[in-house]
Amino acid sequence: MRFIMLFVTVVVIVAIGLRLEPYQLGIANAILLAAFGALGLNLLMGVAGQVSAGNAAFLGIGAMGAAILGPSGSIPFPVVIVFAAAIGGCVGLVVGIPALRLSGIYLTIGTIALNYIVFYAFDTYQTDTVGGGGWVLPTPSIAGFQLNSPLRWYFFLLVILGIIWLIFSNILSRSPFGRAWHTVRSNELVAGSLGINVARYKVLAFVISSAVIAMAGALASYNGGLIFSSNFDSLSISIAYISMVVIGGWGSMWGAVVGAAIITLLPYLMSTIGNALSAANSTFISSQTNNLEVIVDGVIIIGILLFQPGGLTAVAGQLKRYLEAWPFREMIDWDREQC
Amino acid sequence: MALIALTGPDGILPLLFDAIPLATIYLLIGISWAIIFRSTGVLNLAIGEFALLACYLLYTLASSLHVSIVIDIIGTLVIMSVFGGAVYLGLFRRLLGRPHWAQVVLSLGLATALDGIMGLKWGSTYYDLPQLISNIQYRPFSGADLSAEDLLFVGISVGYTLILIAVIRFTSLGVRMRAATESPLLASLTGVSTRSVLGIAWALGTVAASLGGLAFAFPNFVGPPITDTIGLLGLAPVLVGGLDSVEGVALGAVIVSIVQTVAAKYLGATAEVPVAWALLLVFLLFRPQGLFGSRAIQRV
Repeated sequence: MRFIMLFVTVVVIVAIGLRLEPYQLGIANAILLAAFGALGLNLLMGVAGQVSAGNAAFLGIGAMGAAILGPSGSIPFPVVIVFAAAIGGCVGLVVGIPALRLSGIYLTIGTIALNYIVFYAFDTYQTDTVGGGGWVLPTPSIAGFQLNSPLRWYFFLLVILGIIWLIFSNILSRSPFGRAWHTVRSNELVAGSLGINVARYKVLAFVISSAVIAMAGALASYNGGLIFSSNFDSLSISIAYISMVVIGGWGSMWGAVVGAAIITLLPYLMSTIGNALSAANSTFISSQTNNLEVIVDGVIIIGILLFQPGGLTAVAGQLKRYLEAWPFREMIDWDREQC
Repeated sequence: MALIALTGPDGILPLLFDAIPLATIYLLIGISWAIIFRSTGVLNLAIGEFALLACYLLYTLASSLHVSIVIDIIGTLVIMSVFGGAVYLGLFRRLLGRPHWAQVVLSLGLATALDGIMGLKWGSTYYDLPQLISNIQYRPFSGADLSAEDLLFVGISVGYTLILIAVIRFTSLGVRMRAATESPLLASLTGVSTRSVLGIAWALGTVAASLGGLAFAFPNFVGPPITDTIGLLGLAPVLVGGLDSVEGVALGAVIVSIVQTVAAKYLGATAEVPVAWALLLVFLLFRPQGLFGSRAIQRV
């Protein structure tokens, strides 16, 4: 049954890719790129139970890695990506060790600080090397396969996402790491008394998630072809990723991907709504897209936290139970699996 | 020639004087972080938005009502204190008993939503506030300049801090506030209304944030950078001083503002902000409880 589901999913995704216009494929690729970041953040927040506001920083670090090695074109594309991921992992280690040893809100504070330090470093590096024009990246190719069209990018990103997905789900479900992480997540005290080094496993989760997010930053740079440090210098990028995880449901991989899709589609959705309304509303929405976007972001976060803390995953679970029990409403055990 | 001059354009004393306005702002903003965190355990990442909202509000009041600026300021502070209390009772209090990350994420959501709403209403233009008092410059020695406005805000921030400390230490409201923080359950059993007491703590914190924003806005401008470079960066002095210590914030404000002023002078103006964040990371690494904070911070 699982394999049939998987097969159907793959066929549907490939079919969608072949049907979309190049412009729609560009949006689909943006969703896939956001999904990397959301999955990475989700791994950390799910395992460590702490909030990281460092996504903008790690995306920036990945882009910086691509800017250091990529523009000359002499170093193969996969090497650049691995290099970017490695820098991300190292920075994650440096910040994660002090911040994750402490409980509570210190990881959030540390990652906010990291954002501003990375903005400054990246900005200074750009001013010192290429200046305002930014870096131009060559068309990447991997084993002779040129990534020169949105459709090719779509399949390439799908494959990478699939690999990351398999690694994450396998690590989480059937490795010693996964078992340790699950224990840490359900009860730190118990995990400690079972001989699990809680801090080390949290730092490990942070390093892995940082590396994946940095990789996403490098991939996004290649996808766009240009790198500007100013693309990464906003805390609101980090907040958007947090809202992806919160929308999807804390600790759920499907949820993270769905959240990434929703947040990425938000501006397009708003312009569609604007076009459906009168001309005056339409110009208002298109001129204020940024502000409206962050308002919707914030309202979604607040609403979900207040009314549906489990996110969409919990909604899906409730829907499933409702359908299972239908038409006997009183048999539904709503509180099962509540976050 | 002395290696380090005391006065003159490259002296130490003028540098310290340059740091005074910044220290004033940090003291107020820091107090706001500390009192809200200490009383309710919420790391309110929307403090910067509170500060900016107060500035916009004052600008709007001052340009639409034609009364004395002092009345405008008082009106702004009253509105902001009600707003702060309402935000706690209406949003954060509803997350009681949830994991602490929920409140952090909620404050991020609030910050984002407020950013957008203020962007819609006031755009990204910079506004100037009317002059508060006559512009007299004091020059205690060469290279050091302080305006009367700076001195006024030094007085306001130190005064507000002392009042807060006195309220927390010596009044019955302060006792109830500490009780509600220490053990909400026991406090409510002895008849303390934790709702209203903690709401008041938020109101006091919001007023501090508003004053901090105004201390920046009067000599400079009202505009979106206030949220990040004044509000969020207020975390640095708070963490240096100790996240749950109102007294430690004062020392933290002085240290961070001096470090920033020195960095701006020797590394360039763009280094001013990242240096403060780097200082924060260093403290996180070596002394996470800050200089004055309680040692109750739990290590895993």
